[in-house]
Amino acid sequence: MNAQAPPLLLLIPPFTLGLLLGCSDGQLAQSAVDAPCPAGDSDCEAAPTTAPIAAGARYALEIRPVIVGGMTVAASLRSGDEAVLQVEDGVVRTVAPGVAAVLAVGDDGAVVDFTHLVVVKADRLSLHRGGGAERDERPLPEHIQVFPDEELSLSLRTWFGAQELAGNVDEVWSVDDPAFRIVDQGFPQERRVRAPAAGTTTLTIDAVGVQHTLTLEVIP
Amino acid sequence: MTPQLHMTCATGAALLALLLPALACSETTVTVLTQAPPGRQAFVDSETRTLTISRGVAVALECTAWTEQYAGPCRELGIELDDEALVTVLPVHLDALPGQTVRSHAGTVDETTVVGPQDRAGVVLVGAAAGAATLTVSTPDGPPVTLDLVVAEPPAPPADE
Repeated sequence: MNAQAPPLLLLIPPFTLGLLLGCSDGQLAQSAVDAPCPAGDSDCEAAPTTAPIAAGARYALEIRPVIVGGMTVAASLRSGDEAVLQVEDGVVRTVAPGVAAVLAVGDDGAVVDFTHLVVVKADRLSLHRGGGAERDERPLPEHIQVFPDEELSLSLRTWFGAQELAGNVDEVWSVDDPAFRIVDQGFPQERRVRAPAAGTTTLTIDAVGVQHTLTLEVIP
Repeated sequence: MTPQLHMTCATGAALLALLLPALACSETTVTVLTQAPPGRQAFVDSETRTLTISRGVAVALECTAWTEQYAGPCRELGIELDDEALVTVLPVHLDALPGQTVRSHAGTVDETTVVGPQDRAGVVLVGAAAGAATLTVSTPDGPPVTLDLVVAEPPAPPADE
């Protein structure tokens, strides 16, 4: 047998391999990388999963190994730098600003694929009417008027400059007038607020070291 | 172009042939398969034979070898580091299908070589601590490839205003 040069494979750039293998987001082109979206939120589903993540957030990253031939494997996530992000019960928890690999490791200990996540510190928050697929893209101003007994659905977004950040942050919602009721229905970064028959209050949200306020004025 | 490092016959083949007859004409190739995210490093400088990665960044390497009797993934792939604290070394699964090659070689004697379907061989390195070390990729199918490994500290995040 004649000695051969290295396989032709080595002359094919990795991104070309990814195209040959079909849609795949992992750096080894062996997996699909997704983050969950609210039901029916087609904008979220269509968006890339590459937005930076707010430090102090939880991010339900999903890496689905896709092996040639339609096979898959059981895989768990592993952090490349636990000072930046950690994996707790399969969910990524961001710790501090930085960049770190997240590796999908098969049950035989071999890496099936990996990606990198960017973690940044949020510098501002914004409040929006609605939530999930019904969320209004326009941020609310600092002061709004509501009708007596009106109920508002509000959602919170985190930002770094002009860039919206991914991930669900722990937040505290409070009002200085308890006649305004805040209800947590279990949707991340969303609350429902019911106004009383009369009054004015300041709604304050604290999240990831940033504070945002909204004044609600009931107009009889 | 995908960066590669070779230990070739052209580099001291005569001496190797005298000392190591089994490796008289063999080659080991280490290929960096993945890129770093923006602002981080994961690249090899083939001139200085230095692999630089940022702390927290993962990079996949593939190893192939060929001799007069064999061409394909490095068998019994070994990774040696003189400072194991710098990187985490993990085995990696690389899809075999794209690497399966069947071709004819037109030489003085027309022969056919089949590469694969043996699993491709490689590892994933994850930068764990900043520093410098020597990384050696070894296989009985070819000469070892030795690289200087540098794990760089990532840039500091922007300070709070």
